[in-house]
Amino acid sequence: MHPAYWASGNFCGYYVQIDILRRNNVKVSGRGQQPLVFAHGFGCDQNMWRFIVPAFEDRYKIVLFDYVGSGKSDLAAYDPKRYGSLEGYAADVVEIVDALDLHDVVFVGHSVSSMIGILAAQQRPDRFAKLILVGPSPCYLNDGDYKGGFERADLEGLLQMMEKNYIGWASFLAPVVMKNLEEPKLAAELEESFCSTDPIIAKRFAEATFLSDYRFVVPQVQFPCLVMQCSDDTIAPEAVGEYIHRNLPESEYRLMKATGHCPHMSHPEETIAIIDQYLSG
Amino acid sequence: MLGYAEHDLEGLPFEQLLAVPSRIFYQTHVFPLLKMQHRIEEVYLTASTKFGEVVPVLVNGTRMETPEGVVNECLLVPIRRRNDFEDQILAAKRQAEEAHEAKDQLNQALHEAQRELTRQNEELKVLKGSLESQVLAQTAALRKMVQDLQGFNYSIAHDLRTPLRAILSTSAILLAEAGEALTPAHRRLLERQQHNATKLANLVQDLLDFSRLGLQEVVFARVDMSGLAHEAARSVLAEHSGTKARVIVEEGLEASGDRSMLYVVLQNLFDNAIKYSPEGGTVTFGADGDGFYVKDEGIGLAPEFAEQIFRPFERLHRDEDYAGTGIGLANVKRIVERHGGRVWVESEVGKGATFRFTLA
Repeated sequence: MHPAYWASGNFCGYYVQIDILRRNNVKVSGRGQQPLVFAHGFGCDQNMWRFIVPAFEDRYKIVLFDYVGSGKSDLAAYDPKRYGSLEGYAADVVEIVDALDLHDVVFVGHSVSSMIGILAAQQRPDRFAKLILVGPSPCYLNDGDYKGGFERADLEGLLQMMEKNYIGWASFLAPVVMKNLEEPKLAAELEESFCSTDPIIAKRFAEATFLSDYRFVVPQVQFPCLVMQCSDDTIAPEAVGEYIHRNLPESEYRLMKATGHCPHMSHPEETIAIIDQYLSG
Repeated sequence: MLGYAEHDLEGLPFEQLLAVPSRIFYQTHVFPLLKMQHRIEEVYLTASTKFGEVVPVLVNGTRMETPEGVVNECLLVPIRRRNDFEDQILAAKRQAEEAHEAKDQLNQALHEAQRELTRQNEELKVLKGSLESQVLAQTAALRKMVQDLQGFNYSIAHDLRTPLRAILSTSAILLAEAGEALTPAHRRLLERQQHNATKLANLVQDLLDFSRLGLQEVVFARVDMSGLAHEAARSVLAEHSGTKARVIVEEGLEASGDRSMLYVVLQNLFDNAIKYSPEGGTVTFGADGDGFYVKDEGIGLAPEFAEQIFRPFERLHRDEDYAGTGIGLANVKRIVERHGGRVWVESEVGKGATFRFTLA
């Protein structure tokens, strides 16, 4: 077991020492030396990596975590100001890397975590070795010649839908809850739901993600990167993957057979193969 | 329900049926849920019809992993009406919240305005109080000062009298007993000294009266003004033994006031009138709608001097022409004003003068 690592910070108005590993529900496993840090995207938590992790456990040190506000992180540590932009989430990554004293890190980030990983690595260049970006996008909004894929209205529609599914829904969910109560096991399972998130936090994470524009950071990245681009990805279209590949100083580009936005869930074998090939190459 | 023919839908990924915002939500939330928990329940999404219309749907789904492959069975229930109701409820909720907030804000503004008003009122009260006490304090200080001055005047006048009497009596004795022994020039000097000492004594007496009038309390009573006028006229005529003027007094006049003070008023007004009357002139005391008056047929005065003559020591004539100390009319004014009345003169040069006064 690893010792408790502490950092100082101002949360909820109190200046306290925080157990980073508990705060971010950090799980370390694997028998290798080089750390492989897997970072989940918006809407999920570390469980989404469960189809990928076993393939690397014998050769790498696997680090899994939940961002504050997601999964089984400490919700009390949520600070709306800190997590109002991706830099706050990048600070989570930096603090975890510091707390575990990780070196030569390979960071695997899905979706928004690609940009979070880039921001974290720029802060601790001595700790990171490579970045693997799964479905990355530096900017989701269309902007002139740049086609991020979405108009502002689409993203406002998403926020509205989230409100309905999370908040406005609550009062209409009564029948569902009752149904679940008849099946206590299922109710318990739902409670444990890996996607369960506080609605207000989720909305703020969505805003920080989809309304951001980090295109300016891309050309400054000092690490070798792998861009894993899905086919028919609504959230990160191919044009965006190509854009980021073109603008990264040092990158490899793989267009996957996998469709959708979550190849590590829908097509774990292909995902594992590409990562494996990149790491051993 | 979405306007697609069956063959349109074949092979189409479920995601393609969704409106753009729902595709994001599907990828970030719905698909991971299906994959991890193999089922989703009552997820709100928006679908897009073949003709581009957006339809709100509730999605229930299960994921089945069969040997042939993975099948996600999703059931879409359009909830147009339910959605409308929800929108209405959400809108109503927002409206209620806004109304509540507006009410709170209004109440708060009202509260603040009231508080401000109360505060200003209190400030005003304090200011008024301090102003009143300031006025009171200053009035008291002024009154004290006036009293001190009057007291000072009185004691000076009083103290001047004794040495003056000594001067008067010694010059009288000298003139009576040693007059023959003096040269005519020395005798004239002594006579001049006696004359001036007499003048000074009169002045001091008038000053003393003037000061006393300021200090003396006004004792109000019914006064027979006609009787008082006869008395005063007799005394004044006796002093002006050489005069041919006569005084006519209207009978049956009464007033409320201080008898001894009103005597001084009449005495001074008669003295003034007789002094300036021509030979055989008539002085009349009476009353009309404007109050009491003393009218003479004397030399009169120009209207521009009408105010000046009531001020102490302000004289229009040289002592050689008309004797006087310049205090008489000032005394009249002071007494009348202490009665709450007013004194003024109506006159033109050469056409006599009418002195009028009222008593409150």
